[in-house]
Amino acid sequence: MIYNIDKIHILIADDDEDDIELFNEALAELKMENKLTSCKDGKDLMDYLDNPENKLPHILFLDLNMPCKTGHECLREIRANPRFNDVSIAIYSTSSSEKDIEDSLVEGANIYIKKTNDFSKLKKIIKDVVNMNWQYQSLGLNKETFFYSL
Amino acid sequence: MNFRDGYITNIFSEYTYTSIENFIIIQKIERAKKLILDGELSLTEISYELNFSSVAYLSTQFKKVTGLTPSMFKRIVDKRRKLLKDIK
Repeated sequence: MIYNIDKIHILIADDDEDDIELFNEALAELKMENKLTSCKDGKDLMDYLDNPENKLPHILFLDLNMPCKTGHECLREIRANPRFNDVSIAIYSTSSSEKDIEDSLVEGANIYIKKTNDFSKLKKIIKDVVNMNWQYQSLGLNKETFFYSL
Repeated sequence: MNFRDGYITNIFSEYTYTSIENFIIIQKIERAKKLILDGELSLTEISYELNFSSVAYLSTQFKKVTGLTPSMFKRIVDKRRKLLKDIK
């Protein structure tokens, strides 16, 4: 169904190159019009977002454990800046602790995802996140309560 | 009008990216979220208000759609509001 969405811009911040490669392959198999940008750590991510010449993504997939600046630090900085209000944030982490889930959603993440190495699961996750984001944007649902744990 | 089988459901899915059944559940959970936040009704009363067969079924559906229990959902919104208030 998601092939009908206009070109979606996804930004992924992750220090693990293999995870980015897997993500890229999963996205390619979904055959949706997309632009994928990747950042190698938290500092690289904030530099990208703070550069006004860079187009803001529709969805940011954010790893929590990154060098230079952690995902939590990035999340707090992004949510403190109204310029990024329309960017949906999906935390993409190896942690499945309830504390990490709750803290991330309290700090303003929209979706919390437990990382997977299962390729078909990853494809489903990306598809679900894109669909959820689309539904919230287009059906006028309450943004204050737009948060999920997948 | 003479629609072929599945025509409406296909058109619906094309525009909303979900099935009619899912759409109804999502809308019901959205209303449940609002009622939970209003804080005037208990979960049992909310399940009755939204025509869920039981409070257990409401909790199951809520968890299925959001990945969170209703109490965790409310706790997160309360903490978010407090955080925003502290920043301002």
